[in-house]
Amino acid sequence: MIKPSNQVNVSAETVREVKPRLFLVWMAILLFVFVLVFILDLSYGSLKIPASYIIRILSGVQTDKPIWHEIVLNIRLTKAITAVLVGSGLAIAGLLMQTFFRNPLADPFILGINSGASLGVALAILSLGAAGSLFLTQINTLGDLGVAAAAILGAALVFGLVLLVSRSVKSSNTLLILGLMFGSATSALVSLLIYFSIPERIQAYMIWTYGSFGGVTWNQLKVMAPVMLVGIAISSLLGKSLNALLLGEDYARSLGLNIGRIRFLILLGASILAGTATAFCGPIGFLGVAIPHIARNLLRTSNHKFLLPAVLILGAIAALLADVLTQLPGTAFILPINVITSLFGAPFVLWIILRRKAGSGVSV
Amino acid sequence: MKKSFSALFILSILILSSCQIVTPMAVQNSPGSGLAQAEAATVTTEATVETTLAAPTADVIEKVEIKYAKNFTLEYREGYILLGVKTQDSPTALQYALVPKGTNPTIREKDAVVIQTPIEKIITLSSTYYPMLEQINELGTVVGIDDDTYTYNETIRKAVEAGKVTVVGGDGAGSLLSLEKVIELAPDLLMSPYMNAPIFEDAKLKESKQTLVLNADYLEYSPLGRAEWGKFVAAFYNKEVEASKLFDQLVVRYEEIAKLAAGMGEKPSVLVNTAYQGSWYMPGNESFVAELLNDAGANYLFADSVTGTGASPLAFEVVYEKAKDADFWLNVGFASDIKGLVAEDARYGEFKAVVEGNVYNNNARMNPNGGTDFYEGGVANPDIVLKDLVKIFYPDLLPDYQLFYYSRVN
Amino acid sequence: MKTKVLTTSNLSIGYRLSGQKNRLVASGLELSLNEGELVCLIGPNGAGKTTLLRTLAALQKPLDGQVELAGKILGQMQEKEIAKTISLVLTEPIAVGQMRVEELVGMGRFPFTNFFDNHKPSDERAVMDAMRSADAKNLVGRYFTQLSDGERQHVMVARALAQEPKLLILDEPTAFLDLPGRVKMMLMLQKLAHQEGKAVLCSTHDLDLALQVADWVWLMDRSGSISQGSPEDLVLRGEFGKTFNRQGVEFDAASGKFKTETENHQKVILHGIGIEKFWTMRALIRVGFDVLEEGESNLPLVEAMMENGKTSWRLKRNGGVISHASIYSLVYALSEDKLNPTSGKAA
Repeated sequence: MIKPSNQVNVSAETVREVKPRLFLVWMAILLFVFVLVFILDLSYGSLKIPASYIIRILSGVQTDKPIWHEIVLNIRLTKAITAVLVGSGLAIAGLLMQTFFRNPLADPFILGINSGASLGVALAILSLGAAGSLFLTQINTLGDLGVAAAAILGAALVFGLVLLVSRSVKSSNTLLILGLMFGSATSALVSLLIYFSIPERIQAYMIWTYGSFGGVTWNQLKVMAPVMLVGIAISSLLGKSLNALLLGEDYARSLGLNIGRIRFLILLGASILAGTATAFCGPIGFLGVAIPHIARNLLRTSNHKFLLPAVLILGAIAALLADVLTQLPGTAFILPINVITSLFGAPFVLWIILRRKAGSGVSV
Repeated sequence: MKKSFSALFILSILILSSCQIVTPMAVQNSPGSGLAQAEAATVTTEATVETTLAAPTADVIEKVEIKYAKNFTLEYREGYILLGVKTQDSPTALQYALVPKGTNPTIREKDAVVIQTPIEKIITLSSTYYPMLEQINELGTVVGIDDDTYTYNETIRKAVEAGKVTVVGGDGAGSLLSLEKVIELAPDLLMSPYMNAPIFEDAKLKESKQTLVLNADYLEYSPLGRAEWGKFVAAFYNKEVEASKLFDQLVVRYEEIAKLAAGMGEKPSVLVNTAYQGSWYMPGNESFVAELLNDAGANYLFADSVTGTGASPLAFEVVYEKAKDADFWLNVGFASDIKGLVAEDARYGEFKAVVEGNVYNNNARMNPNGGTDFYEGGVANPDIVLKDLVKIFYPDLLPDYQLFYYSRVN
Repeated sequence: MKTKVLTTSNLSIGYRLSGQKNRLVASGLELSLNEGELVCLIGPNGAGKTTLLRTLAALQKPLDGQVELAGKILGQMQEKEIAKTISLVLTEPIAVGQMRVEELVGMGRFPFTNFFDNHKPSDERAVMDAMRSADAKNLVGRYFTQLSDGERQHVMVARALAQEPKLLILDEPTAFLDLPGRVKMMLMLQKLAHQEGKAVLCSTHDLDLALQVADWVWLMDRSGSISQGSPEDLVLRGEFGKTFNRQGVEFDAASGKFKTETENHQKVILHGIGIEKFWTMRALIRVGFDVLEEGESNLPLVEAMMENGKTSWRLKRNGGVISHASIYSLVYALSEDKLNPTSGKAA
């Protein structure tokens, strides 16, 4: 592997960074892997469809199997695109939260955005009454967005609360605790709702909590994609400020950063990404925490200029891989995403971290 | 700089909200299957006499009436049958317009899902439909099922093994529907129970334009009402009249047995179900189980205390108080013998029914994985279930009859 | 004429608490910082040094009065403008897991680089110059977390210098450093002021070093009042003693050091020359003796002597003479005497 070099080209007047070369090499590799995994995800499903057909279908060529067209374009393609958006989005949101709180364990849901979304969904799914009388009207009025709308409302509510509080609270640690408290409170409410619900409704809610990329329609993507892209755009422009935040708020301010504005933008970016991903795909764990660490370890850097794009691609790759693994090929069985991300993700991150010399540990 | 960021924020909120407003509106214009819109657009107002005559459900043949089932209606329209499905207290109904193939009548109900009959391929997401299909000889149209683990029906299980029937998931109990398999099978419709199952909220399924039919048989609280759904299923094959005749015969049989048990003097007391994690789910006095017990001439111990059509969780002590003296104990869950039953909770050993050996379970017909025919065939054959119950409570009334779905727990 | 970089007028510093109440730390401050001068802020713990530094660095708002930076009022300036004039070195630990030294120092260029933090050749030159000035040039290429405390401090100073500030503010820059490190740091600060023309303000507990390098001292006491002057002026005015006086602690103007007060000073006469005499005297004072050049014959007499290249000490006491090979045994003998004072008894 590439070792950190102690020799650096130091000319008399300037310092040339070795990093950009290493970074470009990695990005090229990751881009290549991304394309491979994207096609892989399109190839896997309950039906066996050869890669040659997939390439043809994607290029718009007619084949002798029109049903496969429908499956690849309407089921697998939406799934893959959703995975890419969610994977990238959650990974970036995780990076933002880890830097903002200077805590390597922070994840995108640390502010309780996730819990707000869950509460919205729980209210929508669970509080429809035993006879489900309202239900019939629901499936027509909420339309395609349905549950996702409820989740977005819930997430937005918590986001608003967090913003309100962050104005008067100086320390980000206090914000962290508040996020945890919001999380606890909403979890308690959801448990209460579950307690009074009938089994079928509980089942429906549980299925939502498993997480899934496959439930998003093209119509929903028309809403989800722009929103996620806005979130990604906002977050990507924060590279310089995030680097400054690594030094702490005092240093950051002394470097000319408007802390209030930066806080707002970071919270906004992370909340849009985490809230939207959860709204459409359910709560998906692990990606947000792990990908930033993997990126840091691969690129050997804490510099957000390099981390942001790296995390973007790594997140997409990880989500696509997880999606591939949810489908036991040939069978109808589909495992929940959350099971896969935790099962495979945890040992992988352990390996990444322990691979380094002992003592370097985990840091932001 | 501050201004530009506030602008960006406001802009994002605007985009978010406008997208949310636009998309639901777009969907509201085309509820149900896209097929309905297409049909409504191309239909002409000239309903010819030929069209009317071609419909097998015109005045030429007798009309089917729905007498016991409360959750579906079957109405005759010009050139088509309108099925309506609802739950007991919901205002809106899901409607299905059954149009015979080759005809093109005007469908007055804008929200109805149009289905061409007879259908040839069906995916069933509940095993209660097998007997209903079997009685009209249409079991062979099943191309996909939700799960075969608990299936009792031999034909279906063999077909799955032979690869003729595909398991597609979506039983509403955790296994997710494989949309790919469904699309590949290209069924005429999917039939699913449980109003609240995730399948009815599956936006992806809606997007793929598959036809999903709600079968609410399990929400009926009268045994005959449940069995009457055989007519509902048969309507999709244009065989509702045949099913109706079979049902009439079923009613006759059922009422004969009920009459037998009605005149008996002292009614035996009955307890049902077992405790689970401290709670004992007891069916209400208007529930399916309670009606059966009532028709079988038994005294359901909790008829006064538990009301309604669903099951309520009671504390063990409350049940214990009455249960100790129950003459009979039915539907005892997964225990295969008395020893196993008492092992679940030692207090069961004190029940009079246990001491006297009057514990019966409805798993006499069980598949290797624990699925029982009681929940499959039992729904279509409430007369046999009733016979079983009468045999249990008043063995002398039916001396030659052997228990079918029930067996004594020893 | 030295250019004023920062001045305060009637400055009150402290904390705004909830409601209308404020916690006042110091008030009525009239301070100034000039280019090319090293100012040390000295005071006991809790006096409010950090509050003052943070207020001057625009990290905190003053409770009253104002601070002027290069002619403009600090409270009305944009963060970026301030960043190009003042830079800081603080005591907070920073969380830079995988950063290289040059990246860290490069962050000092933030106020000058564009949105994507692209470094122009002028930026890279500034970084190199900063590292040279801060004696950190040899650390290029290393990871920050792998450096020693002293090296890290130099890098943090380099980072601050990369901002090309007029005023450099440091909070306890010598904390956590070993003695050579502390000396190096203070000497570097002096060099930055004198040779590079920066205004440097640092708070420190290192009284000794501060007195040796500072051009000006702000002496802050617990009540929040500040006495100013060159170090020696403050000493002669007795300000140090006043500020630091506590039970058992005394500032000795003669030596420029703190003395621990001990009781029951016994007298002893010391003869000798050079550093042997100097260090013997220190030892005797440490143990609590008053050291005299001449005295009555009943007092013990110590002679520090060089014989054949080796130092030895002769203790004449109560008529007896004992030779000691080390200060330790000399002091031990004298202390024994102290503990059991018998007059005239031979050891």
